[in-house]
Amino acid sequence: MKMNKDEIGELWDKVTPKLYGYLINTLKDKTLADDILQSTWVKAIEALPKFENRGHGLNAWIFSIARNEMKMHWRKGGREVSFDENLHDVYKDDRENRDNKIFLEQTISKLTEEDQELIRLRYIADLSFLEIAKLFNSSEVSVRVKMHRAISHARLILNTQ
Amino acid sequence: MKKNNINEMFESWGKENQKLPENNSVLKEEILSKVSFDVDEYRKTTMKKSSLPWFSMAFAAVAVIIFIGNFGFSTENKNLPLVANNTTRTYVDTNKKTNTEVSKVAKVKNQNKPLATANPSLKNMLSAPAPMAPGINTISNQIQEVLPDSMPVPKPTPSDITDTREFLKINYDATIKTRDVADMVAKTQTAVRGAGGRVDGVSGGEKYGYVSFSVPANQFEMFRSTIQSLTNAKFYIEQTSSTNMLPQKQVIEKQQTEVEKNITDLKTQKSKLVKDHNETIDEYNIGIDTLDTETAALNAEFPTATVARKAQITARLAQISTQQDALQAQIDTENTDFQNAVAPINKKLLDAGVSLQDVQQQDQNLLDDVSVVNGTISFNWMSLWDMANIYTSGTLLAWIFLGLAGLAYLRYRMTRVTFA
Repeated sequence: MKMNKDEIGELWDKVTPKLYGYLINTLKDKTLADDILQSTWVKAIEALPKFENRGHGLNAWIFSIARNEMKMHWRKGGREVSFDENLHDVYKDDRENRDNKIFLEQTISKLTEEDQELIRLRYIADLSFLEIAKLFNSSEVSVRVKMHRAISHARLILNTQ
Repeated sequence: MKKNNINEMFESWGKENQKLPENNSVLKEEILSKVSFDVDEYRKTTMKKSSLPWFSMAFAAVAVIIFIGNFGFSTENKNLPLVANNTTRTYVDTNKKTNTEVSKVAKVKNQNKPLATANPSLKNMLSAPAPMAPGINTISNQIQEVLPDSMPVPKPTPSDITDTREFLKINYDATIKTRDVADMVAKTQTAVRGAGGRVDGVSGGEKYGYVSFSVPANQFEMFRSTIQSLTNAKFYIEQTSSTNMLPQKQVIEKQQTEVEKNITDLKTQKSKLVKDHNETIDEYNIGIDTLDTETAALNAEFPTATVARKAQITARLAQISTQQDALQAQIDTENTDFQNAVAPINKKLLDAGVSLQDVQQQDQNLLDDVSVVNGTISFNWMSLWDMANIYTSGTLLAWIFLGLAGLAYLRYRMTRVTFA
């Protein structure tokens, strides 16, 4: 893909909040999220000239690199996550909103790994169903169905809490 | 909780989670500092060269062309699988071709001599069209087998469908591709002798070999199985042809009937001639005997007869003598006539006997010929490439190009950025 430094800077500003939020939420480790954010961007910039937008979108491509980086990390060091108190100080809203978010976090944590990943990619990464489908090597319809089930499951958990 | 509510909650939750790292500007600068190459130049030198998998497409196209060429347009397949082709031989009616034409294209494989040339008298007899079966006008319609390279003409068939006899003459030709020609030639000879047959000709070299042979018809299937077991079916091509020799057989039988009828007629004619002759001679002999009796009586009367009576007796005796001479002359004439008449018949009978023997010999030759399978087996040396080509039904080159197309495509994919 043909991009100069300014364009890449704009891409950074556009993608990094979603990517970093996704990494933080997935890894639960700020330091590790920083590292993987960095390595993801390095690899993305290295491979960017070879990237061909075949309808998948640049966002999804960068997220696929991030997911690969995470997988490599887990392969090396496992999935144990240290407690990061900064992560739990992010909610500075009103009490009702904060309660809702805590409920939501608890609800999501009770979903399967795959459902959690779907929700993260859909709502934090802000990817379309088609982009998620490409990441999962699946069809868009299949992703829609899975997402519907994940939300239904989450709603059920929320109603029982 | 309503669906909209939970969706809104997730959307809100997602947006809340989106955030920049604390050292965002530092990280951003650090990352952007790595953008040190000229993207446009890079694309010019790498991406444009392989924007499409040209090599893969080219190889695939060549493979498809070869496939089509091999299966679509080829009228003859060099690598036939094992098929026992029972084909009907091609025939040439020599009456419809000039001698020159026949000599050019026809190879007479029938060991029988042409009947028309066997005996001149027989030839004369056969020239009469009347007694011949319809559709088999003359013996010169002798059917000759010709090799497949001659012009195909309709096979003359016996007109009488009620005659269902079969005198199948089998000819067998095979081609075997092998890595060891000499070994196959030796094994084939052994197989021929093992089937009670006879090797008629052998030639063997490093690349080509040839065995011609004759085996008894009742041993042919066993022999063929033996030959097939010598090699893989893919390296073996055979062609057997069966020809019903019934037309020839019918012609021979017609000839035999004609000759036998002729002999019978001649014998009848001769018998009648002999009988007539004998009756004539007997009549003459009776006349002579009567005259002899009268002469004896006159001679007995003569001593006691009067002078006048003696004169009468003398005159009568002279008359009798004249009559006897006349009768004897008639007998001689009759004998001569008889000899003259019977001699040609005897000659014809002799010729007919010879002809009958000849026809019988033709009949025996035909039966002998039918009871023997004549064949040839050719051996061709093949390379390992040929072997592989045969195993892939002649499309080895196409498969190679297809493989190259696959490799080229893999290489093309490896140079691209794959998703996920």
